[in-house]
Amino acid sequence: MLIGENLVKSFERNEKRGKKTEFNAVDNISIEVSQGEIVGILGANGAGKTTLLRMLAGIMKPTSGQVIFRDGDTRVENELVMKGKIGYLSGNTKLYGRLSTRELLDMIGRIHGMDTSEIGERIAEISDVLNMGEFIDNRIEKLSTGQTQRASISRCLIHSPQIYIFDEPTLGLDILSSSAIIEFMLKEKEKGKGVIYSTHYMEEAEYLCDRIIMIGKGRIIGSGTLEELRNSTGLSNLREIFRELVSQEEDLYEF
Amino acid sequence: MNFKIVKSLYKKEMLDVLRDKKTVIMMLVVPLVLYPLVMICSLTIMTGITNSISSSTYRICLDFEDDGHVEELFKNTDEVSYSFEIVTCENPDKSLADEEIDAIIRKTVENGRECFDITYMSSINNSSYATDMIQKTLKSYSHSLTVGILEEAGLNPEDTLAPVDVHYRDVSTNEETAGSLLGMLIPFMLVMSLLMGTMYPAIDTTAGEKERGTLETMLTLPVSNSELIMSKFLAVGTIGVTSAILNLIAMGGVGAYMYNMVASVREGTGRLNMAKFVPAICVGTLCILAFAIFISAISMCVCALARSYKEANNYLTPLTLIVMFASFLGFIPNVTLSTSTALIPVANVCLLVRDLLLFKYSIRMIALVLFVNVAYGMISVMLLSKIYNSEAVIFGDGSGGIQIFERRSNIKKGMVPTTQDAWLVIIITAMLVIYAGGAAQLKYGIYGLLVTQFIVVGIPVIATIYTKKDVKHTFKLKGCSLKFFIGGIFVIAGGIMLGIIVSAIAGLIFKDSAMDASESMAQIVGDSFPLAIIIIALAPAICEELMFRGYVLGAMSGKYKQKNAIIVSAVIFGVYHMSVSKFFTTALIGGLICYVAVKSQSILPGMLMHFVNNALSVVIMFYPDEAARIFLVFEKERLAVSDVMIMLGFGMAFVALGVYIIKSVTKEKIINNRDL
Repeated sequence: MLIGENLVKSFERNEKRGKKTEFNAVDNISIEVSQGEIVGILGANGAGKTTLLRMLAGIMKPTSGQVIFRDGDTRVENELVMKGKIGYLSGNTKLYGRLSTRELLDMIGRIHGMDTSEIGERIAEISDVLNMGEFIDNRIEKLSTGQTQRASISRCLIHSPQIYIFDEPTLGLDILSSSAIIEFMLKEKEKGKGVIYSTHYMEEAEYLCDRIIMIGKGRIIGSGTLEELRNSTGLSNLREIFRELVSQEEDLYEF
Repeated sequence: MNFKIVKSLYKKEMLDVLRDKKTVIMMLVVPLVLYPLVMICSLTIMTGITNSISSSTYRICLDFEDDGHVEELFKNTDEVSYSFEIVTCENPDKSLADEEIDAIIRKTVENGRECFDITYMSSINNSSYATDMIQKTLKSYSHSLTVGILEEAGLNPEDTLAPVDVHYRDVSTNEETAGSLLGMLIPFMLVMSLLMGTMYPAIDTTAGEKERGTLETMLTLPVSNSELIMSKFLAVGTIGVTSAILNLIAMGGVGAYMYNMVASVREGTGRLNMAKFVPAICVGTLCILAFAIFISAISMCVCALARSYKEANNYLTPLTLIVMFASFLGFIPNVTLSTSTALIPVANVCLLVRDLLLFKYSIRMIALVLFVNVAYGMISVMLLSKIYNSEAVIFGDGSGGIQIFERRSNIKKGMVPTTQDAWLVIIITAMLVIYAGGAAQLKYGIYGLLVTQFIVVGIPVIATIYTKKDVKHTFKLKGCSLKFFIGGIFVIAGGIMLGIIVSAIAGLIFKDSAMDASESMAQIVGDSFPLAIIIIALAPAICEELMFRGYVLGAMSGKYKQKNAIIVSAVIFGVYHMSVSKFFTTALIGGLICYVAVKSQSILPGMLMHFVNNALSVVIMFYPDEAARIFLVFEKERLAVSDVMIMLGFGMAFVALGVYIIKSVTKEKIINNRDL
């Protein structure tokens, strides 16, 4: 179980004449994801989704607040051990273009402390699931967008993490590739893995997520299951719910 | 550090770097193709030029009424390689300017002497060569006339013209002559080619990784900063070492080729026994490997600070200049390899290779240079993994990190400098002290020491002001209770005694360098006592205190716990003195002063302590006899056990007393604050 408690991340924004002002990209968000559930994060561009997910993945230190990882009842204190139990994917986690997918997976497996035979079995398994057989030995720089995204996902899978953190995993993919990824997330959920992911596609979130968290300007503007969100706003469509909540939030700021 | 992780990261880096064409080209093509090509081309061109010059016909104009014998003279030179063509022209000066002729010869006769007047153009190659040949011809003409006159007078021309006969005999072996020539050239070429070889992989693994966006992927893995840096360093080092070996092979090949060419021209005369160079080559290779480690570490450190390829390239330019400058030291005839020059990076390798080629072997020097290079490399890598903050690097996080390279308007005000900045300032200051300070000392002697002190205080002050930190707070510029000064005096008195014991022990282990230092100091100082007090005691007491107890301790206290900040600052202070045997003593004294500075929150007691310590050593230097009478221990070569025990006792007691006094002030303060 991955818990973010009162997470705040402040950045400096460049303004005119090179001056900088501070602002909170993530402003006091608490969030958790347990095994066997998919949590969707919805938000406009610049709402703070990526920053939030980066902090949860442990690659960015929160300005305040903390990230806690519970393995059963014990809390994992060591940051590196925690990273070993999380699979993080975003548009910014590029792959080493001069390596082949197999070499990349091998390297990552070793870093996670797996032995040679274990890595070999796991690669075969993943290659099967993500249908990577035809390009697994090609250099990554030669792959198509969809193939690269599958290679990226395979990178997060190799060490069988307990929690997946995906930042817009279906962005820019065709229907076939994105539905393969959606199916994959559902399968992992059935296996008891936790998934937290951000997206712009409302229909996808509606279909996939057990809980939805909507954020705007670094704060949570609405959260709950789809049912709960429908009941609280009186709207049926997630797209409408999202628009309603964002405009409410903006009204709030105007006063 | 988990070495399995380092190993798999290393493997990845190697694959990544080697699959990049640019690296391979730099590594393979430059040494294996470019070198020989350049050498052979330049040889061919040079032979071509010499041939074309020596087989030339020079066109000259005789601009006077000649009875025929001058023309005869130039037509019938005995030379085969060149000849003169006598040309007649209307306007000789114009023809010369138009390069139609190479020289004009005019002749007048004064009092029976023939005066030749040669007009030529030194800016035109052919004209200037023609003039040389004319001179040669006229000289032999003059000689033949002289011989005639002497013979007419009944003298032996040989005895009269050359009453003193000199013969030279060169006892240098051919190998030594060749070595001294190579010694000027090879070190410089090696150093530069190594730098070129490591530059590209250094940029690729650091700034390149940032630019390709794979560093964030790396961050998602359970990899620590030091593992990441270590694996990258190993990869760059491997490339560096490989390109070093390839460079050596290429140079050897080209050298052998050139040698064969020269040998075939001058048959039998200049035979070199190549076997004699084998030990030099073996040891040299070892040193080059050590140097490859050093230069890889340095270029990686520089590149890691950059955010993009372009920025990394910009940073490497000054590095190249510094390396070039340092390797020029190898050309200066009077600079030789000694314990102190062995500590100067780059220059030490150049000097050692030069010495090796002159067949001067000293195991101690070889070991020292090897050690120094590897140690510097390791230290730089360690420092890098300290200041390298991947999160700040990727996300451009404004808090902490290196602020010195930021635009000033983007830097936030703060109390003390960041530790990253402090490390950088320490490195920059150390480099400047070594190079600029060292040069100043060579040139201006004792006043050069003042330059060093200005550097030591100037860089941190500038850095603090630039990064908008609180100067008063960082440098602890404020007064304090008189009791801190009294306590400080006791602490330093005890510290000096303990220091004597420590340095005696260190002197037993590291024998030579202690003597070196004090002798060279005595040479620099000269014989003015007040001057020595000002330069050796007063200036460091002010400047070094501001740097180490002000800037360094201030920055370290901002991040570390009090005790750790004191230890780190003390070690830096010890390292700064650049002597293995002095390290422990200076670190001890530095640590004690740090303690007083932390407690008093003022720079002043430390300055007094530093002054007392340095002034004492000046007094001992100038009045050794008097000092020996007062402090019996200075007389003895070695300390007896009883002396050690007494000094240890007194030393501890003084330090304890000083600490007690200082603590009493702090307690008073606390009580006073409570009352308020």
